[in-house]
Amino acid sequence: MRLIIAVILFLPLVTVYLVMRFTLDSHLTRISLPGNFSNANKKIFNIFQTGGAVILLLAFVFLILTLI
Amino acid sequence: MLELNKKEEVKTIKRRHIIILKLELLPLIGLALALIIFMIVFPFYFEVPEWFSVFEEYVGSLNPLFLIFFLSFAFLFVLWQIAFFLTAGYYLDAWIITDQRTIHTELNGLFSRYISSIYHNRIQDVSVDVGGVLATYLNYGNLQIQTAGKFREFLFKQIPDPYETKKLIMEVQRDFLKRRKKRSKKEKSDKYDDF
Repeated sequence: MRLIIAVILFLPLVTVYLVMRFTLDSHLTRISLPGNFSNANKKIFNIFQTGGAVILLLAFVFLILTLI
Repeated sequence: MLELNKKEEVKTIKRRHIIILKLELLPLIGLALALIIFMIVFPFYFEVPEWFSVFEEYVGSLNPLFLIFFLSFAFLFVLWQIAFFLTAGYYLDAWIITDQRTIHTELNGLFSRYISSIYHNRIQDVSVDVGGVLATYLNYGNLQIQTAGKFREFLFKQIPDPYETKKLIMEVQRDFLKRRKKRSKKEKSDKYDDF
């Protein structure tokens, strides 16, 4: 029961993370603007993706701590 | 993938004014800050509510404080992703003016993308619309290109320096038409030389 609740709580977050990551990655590669503009975009996108992963990890840690 | 023609030179890339993105992100930043302050202050005043024991009867023992932290981080994650989406939209919505054409790329939602371009010989009219106090003060506005083709309107939304951009488009169009004229004259004279 506890495991099911944990999965129900955490799965949507992981799904949102993965969808955002791969969809926007695909947009970025397909609409790559000429010159240095693409590199600047990639940097910003990387910051957002890393930040999202860190927040997700913290949420996961607190979920585990809640259940222990 | 967006590709330029051979010898096509990018004159400028325009996006919406940065203030538009900042205004969109402002409520999210406010909410995130409020949430962070809540997470810092909350443990000092926290008391386990009575209804929580009823909840625990079904699920087993849980740490309520960490549960609140988990929910707060989950909410923060959602805010972060919304900010990510808005920023991605800002960076991927662009108007690229080259010496041959104007290209517009736009992200319509998460799964829809739109790219269109018009060659400068098809431009019939360029108009600028700067409306509102903020737009006047910060010098941003809409620039509309009327074309002779199927897509009759081409709208640059809330771009900085719309008047300068209009000037640039007019100059680029003039040069483009001159080059075309020269080329067609040369082709004609080459034809006569062959005879």
